[in-house]
Amino acid sequence: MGMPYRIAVILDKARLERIKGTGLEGIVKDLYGGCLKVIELNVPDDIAQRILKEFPRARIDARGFIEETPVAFKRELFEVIVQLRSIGPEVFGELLKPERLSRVKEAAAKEDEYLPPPNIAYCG
Amino acid sequence: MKNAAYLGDIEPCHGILVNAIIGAKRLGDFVDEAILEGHEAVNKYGYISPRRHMVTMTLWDMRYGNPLESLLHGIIRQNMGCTHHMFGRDHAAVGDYYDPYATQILWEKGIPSFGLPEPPYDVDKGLKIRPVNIKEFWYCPKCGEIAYSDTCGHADVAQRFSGSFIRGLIAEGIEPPPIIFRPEVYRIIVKWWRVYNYPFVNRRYLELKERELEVDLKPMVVSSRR
Repeated sequence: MGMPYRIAVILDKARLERIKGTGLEGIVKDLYGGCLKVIELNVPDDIAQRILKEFPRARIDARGFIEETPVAFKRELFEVIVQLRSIGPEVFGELLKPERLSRVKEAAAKEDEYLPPPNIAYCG
Repeated sequence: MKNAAYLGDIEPCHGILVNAIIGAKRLGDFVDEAILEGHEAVNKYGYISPRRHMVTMTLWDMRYGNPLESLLHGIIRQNMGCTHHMFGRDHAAVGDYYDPYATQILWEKGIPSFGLPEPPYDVDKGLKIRPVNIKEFWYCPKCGEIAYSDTCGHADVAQRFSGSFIRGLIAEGIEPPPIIFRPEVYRIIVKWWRVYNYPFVNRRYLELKERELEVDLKPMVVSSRR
């Protein structure tokens, strides 16, 4: 088995709220001096290759993380983590089940054309 | 950029000329308008004083030729009057076709297979512009600040930045912390996101830009006689 890659799910306020009381709080990692909160998962090589194959624009970045996956994929990954209350390999087993995967891919296909902009004030 | 301008053994630079490459880019890059306005925001909001920072552009469809394309960049910027050219990791790169530091290798010691056994400024009739090769900036939790990889001794705990990670953050609609993006720069990205319904270059954006920027020319007739 090759070197495991990693994937990170960023936690905004809403996601931090969702994991309260799930036991997942203890694995939240601070990034950049606590400016960002993330949950990191190890991804075995075979799973990483599968993700890269399913989502052709995904890539391994300079840090060894799988990035540029569709937003829908990361969203679903978070849902599975919360559902299973785990960051183990079983998360990917669930995430890559055909029914879930096809739902993610369907949503991802729409992302090429439109992503909803955040609701912030423009000050430029 | 602010720190990078004062690295190395060269004279501190008198000014930073940002010369943005505007034209077709790979899917997922930032759109031209956001690139230009984002750079302008850096001096408009005083992060680098406008006395030392100027934004310009070159119309050019990126070829992602890494070291080869860096020669073109060197020529353009030398002709604009620059004495030094900053080269980072993965300069004009896409994917992992080239070594991440291929451009820096070319400008440090040359690449004989490219016909340049010496750096471009050391060969006969070569360029005058000199490189400022930048390794990497990372966040060091021990230093508690952004640190330069060749200076900071905490590589084991360093938290590296990644363009892919930052693009993912933006795509999810999460405002990057100021340590990654100046808030004013992020707001400009969102401004153009609203215009194009997408924060990055996609096919529709490329088609639009092709219509706006491409000029049809009659085939050139070149005489073969001298």
